[in-house]
Amino acid sequence: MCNKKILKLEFRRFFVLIIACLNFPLIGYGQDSSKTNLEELSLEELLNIKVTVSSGKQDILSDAAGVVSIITSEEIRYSGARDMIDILRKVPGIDFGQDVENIIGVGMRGMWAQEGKVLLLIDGLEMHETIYSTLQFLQHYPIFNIKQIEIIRGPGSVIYGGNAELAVINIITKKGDDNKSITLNTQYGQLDGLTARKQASLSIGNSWKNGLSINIFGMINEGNLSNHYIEGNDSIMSINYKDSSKVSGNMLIGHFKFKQTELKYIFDEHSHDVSNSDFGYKHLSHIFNVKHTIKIKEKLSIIPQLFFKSQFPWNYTNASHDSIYNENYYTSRSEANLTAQYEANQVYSFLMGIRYLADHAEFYKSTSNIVFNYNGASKVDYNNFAVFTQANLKWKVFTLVPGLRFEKHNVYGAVIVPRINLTKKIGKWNLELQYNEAFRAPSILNIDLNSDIKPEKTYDKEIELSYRVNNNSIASLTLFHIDILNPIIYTSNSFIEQYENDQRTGSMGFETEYKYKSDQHNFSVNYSFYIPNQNKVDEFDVEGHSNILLAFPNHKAVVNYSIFLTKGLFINFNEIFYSSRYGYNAQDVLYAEGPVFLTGCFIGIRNLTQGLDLGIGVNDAFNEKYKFIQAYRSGNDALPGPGREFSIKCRYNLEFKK
Amino acid sequence: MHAMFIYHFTKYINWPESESNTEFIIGVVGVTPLKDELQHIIKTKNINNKKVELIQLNENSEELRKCQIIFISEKESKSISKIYLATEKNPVLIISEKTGMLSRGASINFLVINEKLRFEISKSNVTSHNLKVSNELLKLASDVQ
Repeated sequence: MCNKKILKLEFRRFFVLIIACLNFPLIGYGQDSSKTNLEELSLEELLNIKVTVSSGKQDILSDAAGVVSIITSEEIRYSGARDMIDILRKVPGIDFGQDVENIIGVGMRGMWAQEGKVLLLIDGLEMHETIYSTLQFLQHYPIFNIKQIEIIRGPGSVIYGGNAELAVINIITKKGDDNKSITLNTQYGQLDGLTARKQASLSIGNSWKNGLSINIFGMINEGNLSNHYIEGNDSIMSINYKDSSKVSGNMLIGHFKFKQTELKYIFDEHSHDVSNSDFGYKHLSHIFNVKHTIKIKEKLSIIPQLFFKSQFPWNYTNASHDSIYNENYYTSRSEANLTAQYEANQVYSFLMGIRYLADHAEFYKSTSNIVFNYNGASKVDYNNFAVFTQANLKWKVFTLVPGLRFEKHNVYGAVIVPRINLTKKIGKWNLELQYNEAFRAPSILNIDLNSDIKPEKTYDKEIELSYRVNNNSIASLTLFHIDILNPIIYTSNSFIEQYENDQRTGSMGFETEYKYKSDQHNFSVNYSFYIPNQNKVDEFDVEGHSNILLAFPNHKAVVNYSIFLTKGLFINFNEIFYSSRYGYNAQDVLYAEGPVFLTGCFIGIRNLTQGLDLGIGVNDAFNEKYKFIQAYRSGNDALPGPGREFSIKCRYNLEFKK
Repeated sequence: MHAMFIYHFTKYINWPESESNTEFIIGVVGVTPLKDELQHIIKTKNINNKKVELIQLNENSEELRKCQIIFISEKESKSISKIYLATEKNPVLIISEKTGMLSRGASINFLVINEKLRFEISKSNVTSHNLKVSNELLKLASDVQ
């Protein structure tokens, strides 16, 4: 039931807050822009920072702020974020919903994007499992040791391929060059009567004059997703999430670099309960990458790379279920790619690449002679070849970035996607027009369950306008219009899974953001809005509500504000507003979730003693209990979110002597 | 960002010892926010163990010869020939931010390549001002002429 009075009060609280925060520059310190971070960097590190323009205009805020969101290490450190969901849900257009079996997945601009639609990279390595192409946002993605997170809030298939249909999230970790120290991070979160998370991570990095650089990062985490108890009745079973939403995650990231050669390794193991079941799942990945950069006459770089991903995705944690479902998979992906970058001069630069990958899957620990549908064997192999190119033409009148990708898979055939991006800068204004085509590559099981499956294709148009108010602040507005044809839809009937190409879906809307950064203040406010665009997919449809898709709100607004009250004492305040959302429960009955305000606050001291930071915080302070709704109509109740959580964080950094 | 680069350049460039100079002087030609950025940096940092003084210049300023570094903003690029001639025999590092400035007398020129800030160096222009540049800096440059 929705109490209108309470809602009004909440709205008032929210908007008073926005107005109060918008006024702060008038009463703030009014000092120059933040250079603290840059001052800590060496010349080599400065060379890796992206800029856009000459000295007169460039500063800490990128003019590409609209479509590309960049979250820095410092922003994360002082934000009180507990996990990757906390970080990403503050980004315009990004939301989260439930997939199945307590898995939280990502949505983009109102659309469910869990299976191969939003690409998640850690240091350029794809984190998806390759059976379904899913991601699991379950406390295991690291939020420490991050240098920055770059989010392209739009298609990236031309460069990144078939998992980058709607967005690309690249988590860039600190390497030995950035991190000549030992850093220990711990955090503990407490729900009402239940531990939300216990996490510790250690990072050790260093670099030497001979060109060697090493960084090792390790993290362990145990926690629970929810502490709710849902009372059952005749038709519904009771669910006690206190006993059935456990998660754990271990991650190891190794980076070794010697001169122009880099070796990366990621170990990612995480497991989770399935509510009201005596089993759960474990997902295990080993990801390797070797990269070598060959510079020819400074202007031409050739970068050969090898990738190998070995995974055990969706493996049952209770062995007895092996015989019931026979679905313990082992997969591997071997990939070789070669990229050439040619910077002819300040005006023209070009990128070209080729990629070959081979996917392999087999049943692992199977107790019967189960086979893949595709070939009738217990193993299956696919391959894929891609060529892509992109130019950057910085003419005086405007900058043009055309790109093209051709990809051919041995089962689903060829895909061609072009893109073109035109940027025009006039004084403090920056206008960007984009046309992107993108695709979602069918995964191993998409193909296995439907050998006629085709890639779904996205046609995206965007207009972005940004205005740099001054060196400290920028405002941007992005309009988007997305059509998805032949969307790959999951259906499940009596435990029989099926994937098929439906007619079309899509969304359109806009995102707007204002950011202000200075030595003392880091403030941002953003608002996202979408409505469906010719959605013909019943699984995403909300009966009787043609202006919204399942699980994701039409309106999302975020205020995030960090302030240094003294040199060491800082406080962060954040508020996220979600408008009403809809879902179908396990009985296939439509329900509505009222507007939600998630309020968080974090207060901390930097350098309490040399290298020691301490902080305490509260998330969902008013215990609104945001529910993760299943974003497609498939018979799963919403996963109740954690509700109010008190957390404590401790960071200790010991720098090596230079 | 440019200001931090300039600060770092001073670690790789050798100016001849001069007892008369108790301060390290950076001159800025043209109106550019870089001056504010430099101002911010020199509040807390010395260069070559000297306090840093920041002065605004134009192509006719007499103080041109007093400077250890002169930064010429993009809009004032035309003045480089005059500044180069005025400081030819002085140990001055001339830094610019427009294509083609090395051939007109700049020692270091900023470029933006693939959205990253880069710089090119004219070794002969550096040495003609009686300055020494380390190989390390030359390696970091995107082009050395």
